[in-house]
Amino acid sequence: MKNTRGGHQGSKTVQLVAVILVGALFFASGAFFGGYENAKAIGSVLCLSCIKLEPKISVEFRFETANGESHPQFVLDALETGPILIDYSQNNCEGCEIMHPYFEALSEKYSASCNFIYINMDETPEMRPSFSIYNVLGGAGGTPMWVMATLFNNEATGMVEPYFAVGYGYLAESGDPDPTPQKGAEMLERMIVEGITLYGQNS
Amino acid sequence: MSGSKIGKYRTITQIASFIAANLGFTFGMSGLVYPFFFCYASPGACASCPLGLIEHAVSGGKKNFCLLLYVTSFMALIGLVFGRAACGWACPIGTIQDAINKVFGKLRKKRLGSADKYMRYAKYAALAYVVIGAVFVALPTFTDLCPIGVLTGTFPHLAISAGSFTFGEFFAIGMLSFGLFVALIILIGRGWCRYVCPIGAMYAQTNKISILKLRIDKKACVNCGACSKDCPMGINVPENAEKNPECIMCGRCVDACGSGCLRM
Repeated sequence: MKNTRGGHQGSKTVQLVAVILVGALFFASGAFFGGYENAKAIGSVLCLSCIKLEPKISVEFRFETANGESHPQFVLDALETGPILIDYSQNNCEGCEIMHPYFEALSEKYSASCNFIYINMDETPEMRPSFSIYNVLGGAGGTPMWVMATLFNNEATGMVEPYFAVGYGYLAESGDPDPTPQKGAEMLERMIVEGITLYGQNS
Repeated sequence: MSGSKIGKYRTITQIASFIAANLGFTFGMSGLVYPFFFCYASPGACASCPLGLIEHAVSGGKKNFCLLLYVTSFMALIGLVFGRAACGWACPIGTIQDAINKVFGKLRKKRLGSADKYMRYAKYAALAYVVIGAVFVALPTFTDLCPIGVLTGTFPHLAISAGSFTFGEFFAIGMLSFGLFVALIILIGRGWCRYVCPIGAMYAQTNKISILKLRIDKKACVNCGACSKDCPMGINVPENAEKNPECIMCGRCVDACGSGCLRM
């Protein structure tokens, strides 16, 4: 086997070079081209399609944000003219795809009295931090996430402040074993109407 | 090498790997990629499933090249160095199947015949579907149907906070998929790895070029058959195991060989 030793060494060198090159590609794509941050952001939002579950949440309005940070500027700007419904989604989100047409239809129906914004966090990663501001379910919350932000008088401070409610997926109410997109759309519409009513009373 | 020396190291590595996969309970989510099958929706997940990230990168026909490169170069790196050893030594789903094999292995007597040979290609179709299902919005994605999401995601979430969830649209299909998965891994040793696992499909061909290799000294082989008998992937070891895409580098054949003709 002596005369194949050179060939054996040669293939080992090729292997090593390949490992170094691929390793460099991996490192560069992770560290310099956003691969690591992108993967972290995607992994941080619970994949509801993967677990085939819907978070149950009673859609209730509140003042305190989920992580204690203040409301994002785009929400504060929107509240100058009306309440705002936010559709948080991301790629590879079946529930987001299914609910989006309902969101579009509601945005046309209520365009005169409510602001609407669709945020795909993969397409506009700079909007991701605002997801955490409103994700009241934390580790159990995923996309689609719906935020209706309006205005209400906070008795504790005596001031009119942003007041918001959060829903997820098909907005399954507690106790409903069979959430559907249609029921979700009806809940969204109730959130919009309540948001508009509260805004009219407090702006 | 005889005895179970490799087996001991492998078991320790499998346990350590399972613990490492769940470090999210302590450290939260990182931007790392699991080099094996584990759902990023698992409550303790500290890294992301490569298939889920690939789906995100191509979802709806969009092309996030940096994310795709990040995931594929990582998998390629692992494969170039270790071949399919991540399947044999690290993957928690592999570990579960090994545990099941210990209980049910002795009950399986039939050889699988030619159907087994053709069904090995099904995992490449599953890998193709990961991309196709994500690109075409009308199709359910692989992760919508994935039984590993049920095992490592759905069940732990329901165990930790059952009251917070109700059943999603794909819950029934997920349960069916999980039922089929359980039947498969009980009936056929490492059945998921053989026929379905898209991550195994990604690594399989790297066995031909990896640094870690199984070497067979055919001159020393006495054809006792002990190696093939212990192979969880049903490989005819003395004839086919070198550079075989189906070999998960678990080392059981090396431990079983009494003639010292197998080494890694």
